[in-house]
Amino acid sequence: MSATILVVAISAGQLLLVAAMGLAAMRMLRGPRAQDRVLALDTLYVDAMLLLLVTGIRTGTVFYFEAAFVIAMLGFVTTVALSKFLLRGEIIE
Amino acid sequence: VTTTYAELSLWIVIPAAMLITIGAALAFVGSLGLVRLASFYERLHAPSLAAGGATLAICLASAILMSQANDQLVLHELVIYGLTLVVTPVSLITLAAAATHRDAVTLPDRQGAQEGLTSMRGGVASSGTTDRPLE
Repeated sequence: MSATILVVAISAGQLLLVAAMGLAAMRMLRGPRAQDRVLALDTLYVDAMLLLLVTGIRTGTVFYFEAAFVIAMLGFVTTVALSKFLLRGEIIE
Repeated sequence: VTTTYAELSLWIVIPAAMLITIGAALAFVGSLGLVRLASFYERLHAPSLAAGGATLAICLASAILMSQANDQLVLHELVIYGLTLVVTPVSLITLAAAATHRDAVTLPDRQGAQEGLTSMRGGVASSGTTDRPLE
């Protein structure tokens, strides 16, 4: 019973997160200006991190957690670097 | 699902399942707002839904289930939540500053910057020059 509830909830969560990643990718492909694409990339990173966490719950291992942690850190660095590039034209002055 | 989840009680499983579903739905709504909202400065608010609520819900569900399945307190998911909580406003504010700067530079009549300021102030158009970025 409890395993069935968990399987249904985790599958629904994975489907919703994949749909969210698809919407973010759509904005990244369409987005009129560069800052829209950077924002969509940031959203895509967060959604991928959440998808890895849910998959980690499903399998019960800790390896997905470490991948999600790396994605969370790299997503921040990526967004800040791209924003600085948009702001100044170069990343490190 | 591994076999260790099958013998958990419903009092643990039902809140965890609700947290997973609510978190994924919040992330979906945030991405939907990213597609549907009109201007960039409105779209900037949408992903904080995924970064705030969805991350909290899914990390809590993961911590509850991992703690119950392993018979010990597992809290390392909350590290991800703390990191996201600290880091998301910084990156979004940097991106907003970059967008304001680009609007002020590339649009000579500052139409984009005024659009953002107008949506921020609830429809009152700003015509003064006090809001010009420092560049």
